Amino acid sequence: MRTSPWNWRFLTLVLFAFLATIPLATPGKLGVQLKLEKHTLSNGLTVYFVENHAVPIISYQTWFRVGSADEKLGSTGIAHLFEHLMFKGTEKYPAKSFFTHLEAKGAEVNAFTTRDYTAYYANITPGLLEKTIDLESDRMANLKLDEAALLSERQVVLEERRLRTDNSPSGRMQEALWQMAFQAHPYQWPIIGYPEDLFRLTVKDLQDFFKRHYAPKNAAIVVVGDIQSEPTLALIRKYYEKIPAGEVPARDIPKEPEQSSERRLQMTDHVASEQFSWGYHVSSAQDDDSYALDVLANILFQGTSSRAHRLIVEQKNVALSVNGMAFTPTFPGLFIMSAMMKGDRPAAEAEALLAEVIREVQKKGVTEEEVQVAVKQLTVMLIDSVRTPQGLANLLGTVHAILGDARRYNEDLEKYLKIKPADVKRVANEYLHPNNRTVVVLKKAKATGDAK
Amino acid sequence: MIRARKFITIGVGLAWSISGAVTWAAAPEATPSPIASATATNQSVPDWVSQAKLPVPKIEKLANGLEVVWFVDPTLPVVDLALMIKSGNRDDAAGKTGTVQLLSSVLDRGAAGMTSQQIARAVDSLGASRYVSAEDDTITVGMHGLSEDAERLLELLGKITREPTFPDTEVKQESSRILDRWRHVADTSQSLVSLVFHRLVCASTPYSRGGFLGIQEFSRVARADVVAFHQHHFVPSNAVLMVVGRVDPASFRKLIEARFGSWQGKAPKRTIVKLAHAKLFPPKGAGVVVGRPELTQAQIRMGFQAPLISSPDHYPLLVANTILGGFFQSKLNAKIRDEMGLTYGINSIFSYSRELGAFSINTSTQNETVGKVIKRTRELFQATIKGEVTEEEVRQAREYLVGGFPIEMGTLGAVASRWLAGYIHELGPEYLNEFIPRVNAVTLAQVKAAMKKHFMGKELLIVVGGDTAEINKSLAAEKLPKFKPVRAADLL
Repeated sequence: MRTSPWNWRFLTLVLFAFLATIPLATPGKLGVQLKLEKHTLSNGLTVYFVENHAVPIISYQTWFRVGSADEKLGSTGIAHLFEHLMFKGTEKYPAKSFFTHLEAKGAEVNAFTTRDYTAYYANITPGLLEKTIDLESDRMANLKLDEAALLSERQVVLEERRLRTDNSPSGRMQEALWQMAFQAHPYQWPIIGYPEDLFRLTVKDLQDFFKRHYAPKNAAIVVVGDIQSEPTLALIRKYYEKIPAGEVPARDIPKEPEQSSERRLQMTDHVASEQFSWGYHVSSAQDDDSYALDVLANILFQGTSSRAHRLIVEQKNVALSVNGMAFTPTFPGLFIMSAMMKGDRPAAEAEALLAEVIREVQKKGVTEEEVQVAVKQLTVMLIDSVRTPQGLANLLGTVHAILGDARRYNEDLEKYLKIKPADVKRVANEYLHPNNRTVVVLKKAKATGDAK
Repeated sequence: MIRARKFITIGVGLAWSISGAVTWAAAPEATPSPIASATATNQSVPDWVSQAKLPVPKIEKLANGLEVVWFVDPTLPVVDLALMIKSGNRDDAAGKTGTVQLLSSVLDRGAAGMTSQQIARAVDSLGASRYVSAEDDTITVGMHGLSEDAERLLELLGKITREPTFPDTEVKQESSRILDRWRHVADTSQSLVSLVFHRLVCASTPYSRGGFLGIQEFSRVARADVVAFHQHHFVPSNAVLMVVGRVDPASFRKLIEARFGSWQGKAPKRTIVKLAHAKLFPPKGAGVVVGRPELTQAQIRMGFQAPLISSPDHYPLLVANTILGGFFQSKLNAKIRDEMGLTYGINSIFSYSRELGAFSINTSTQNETVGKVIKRTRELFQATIKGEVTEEEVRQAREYLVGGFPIEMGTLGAVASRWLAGYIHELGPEYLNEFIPRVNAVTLAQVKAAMKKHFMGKELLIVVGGDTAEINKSLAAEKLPKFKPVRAADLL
């Protein structure tokens, strides 16, 4: 259904920042009550509950630790295509059952695939809980895969690719950036895959993929909202416990070698002004540097008074926008920065200014006040992100998928509290150097035919 | 425009990003706890959902005519403040289209002795966010932040809306940025096709110009036009202040009185400009194609003007739309995506401005299959409006709309934004609570009658963006006429 490179660290950051920056406040007083329960079934399936009876809604999510990072060249896109096929039915519940039994009763049913994990969700009213559990457990055990479903869904995925990548200037740039930045690690290929690989996939490949990755031991259920945990756990046991455990497949993933010089690509497209994207290799989520990188990203890019926006958009007026974020997933990720130029200004002008902004931090560091403001900004964003059962379930599922236990959502609190201006300066110097950078510049194509 | 799917939602600018959870006050004598009734009976929409009441705000009017709408909820420590002006793009003076867009860009770039950067830093340092949004019928200025900062956010909101200074350098800079951003409308066929479709559907209505008509006309908009618009339209009798989230109403009301009580001004006089866009209209039976030969996928929009949201046929039409293209297993998506694999998605939707409704079908497909998608979509559309709808489909659509209601209304922010949309459309303060019973009451006969009355005989305006040569080949293969070509450059 949709691909989503979710920035899990960003989400966790905001949670901790939130708890950290309001003295004497308890989560309860602030309206964020996280009584998180964890259970493990006899077949290894992990189950998380958070009861919240404020609204009659439940978000029921199933997370599998498999994403495009688990693919090989030649079969790219299988994780995402498989996600589509998970809606194609079983003996008991044929294709469209998720829609006739759930969506037709008002539920929001969808799924997303990332580089590291795949998640399926149903936002439902309480009356649909047992049917959801029945449907989800049934397809985890009994999914039917056939040629007809593969052929039609492959066409749909190719249309999705044309929409998001082939006919999208920013989509093309992002695909090229990851492709160039990673030369050994599977983060190099797009989640949606290459068309030639999608054409190569067979039903047998998909059956093998299903058997290897879609098993209770490699999954977690996250249920947040208007439930009572005891009867819900009983239902989950009833439907899931009979499914064979399977294994947690080993991730045999090559390490990305250190980048020794800048990589640069120039592309063209029919756009009104030049654009560019930079990607610096940064740490993974497990590395403590990711916390300081988040704070750095915030100081540079969050809001119109941020350092990069102020210099490049406001003072020098050479770009219409400038953005950046530290993407630190399961494996070492990328700090991505992008700008869209104003009028006929060349990308090189904003590139030079962005380099200046970074050099300034590297030489002089940031202030204590900037760190505090960043944390406060993130406080509000936390409350926004967990205000719905779906938002909270997304957070817990992501932490589970990346760190192996959703309860770790709060153990990093002290790490954020300890971030000092010196840490921000250190990570800026350690990661944001030109030899560690990949650059994609998009230039204006000459008008052709009836284009413009 | 606001969009209607399950319900009505408000445009980007009025998107209330946050607030606490809604308290679903069960109606008197409503019964068992949700989970108990739900799991015991496995009933998808238990009685308590249809009996539940959404919060209705407290509304008061200050002596100067400013309406204050309160959605107070202590659940989360956040607050949304928004001042909505009941004038929008359509109120641009003749020959000055884009004034409202420029005003919305410069409103927070200097006010009450503060510079643009001082305002930005003042808001950012609170961890808060701000927005100014211009729509067809409204301009909204909003602040979102922690409740502990509500007083400061109100102060900044008051300064921005009442005392903007519109510095000349800022106006010139923003004007130039708007022109540059406008040129990016041709970067993707999605935005190009939507622009042409909007102009065709809104032709000869007060919304025909949109927010931006073209570079030439916008170049004539000067600082004096922005100042004049602000003077005439930013007046208390033309405004609504909305307070959503955790505040103490008694003390906060005093602060509102202090910031907005002295605000004065007469109700604005409106001028209405209607354009025909005659050059864009295709010959009968054909469509328009915006040429982008380098693209491998075409964007498609099809539709026409539809009844207003206040129409007595609104609910039957909502059910009809759900069946046709309103959800994943609608007739259109089931056929064109799921069965034929021709698209990533196809949907249909109603959009509403105060004085205009519009119906549209939206999809994308390879250039080579445009003819096939258009032909099949037309066939499904015609069959549906001619009455190929079953009792079961109506029941399912009703269930979808009613069952999705609690999910749609899951936060106070969602309730507040829908309520405000309804307020603009004069649907009455209780209209949110009418949704479930009104949908539940829709019959098959009403659905058929509404489609016959409002859809039958209407020609679908069709706009496609992509490779003209390939698209015309695909049309010819389906025995459809060639589409009228439109150059992107001529739209700017």
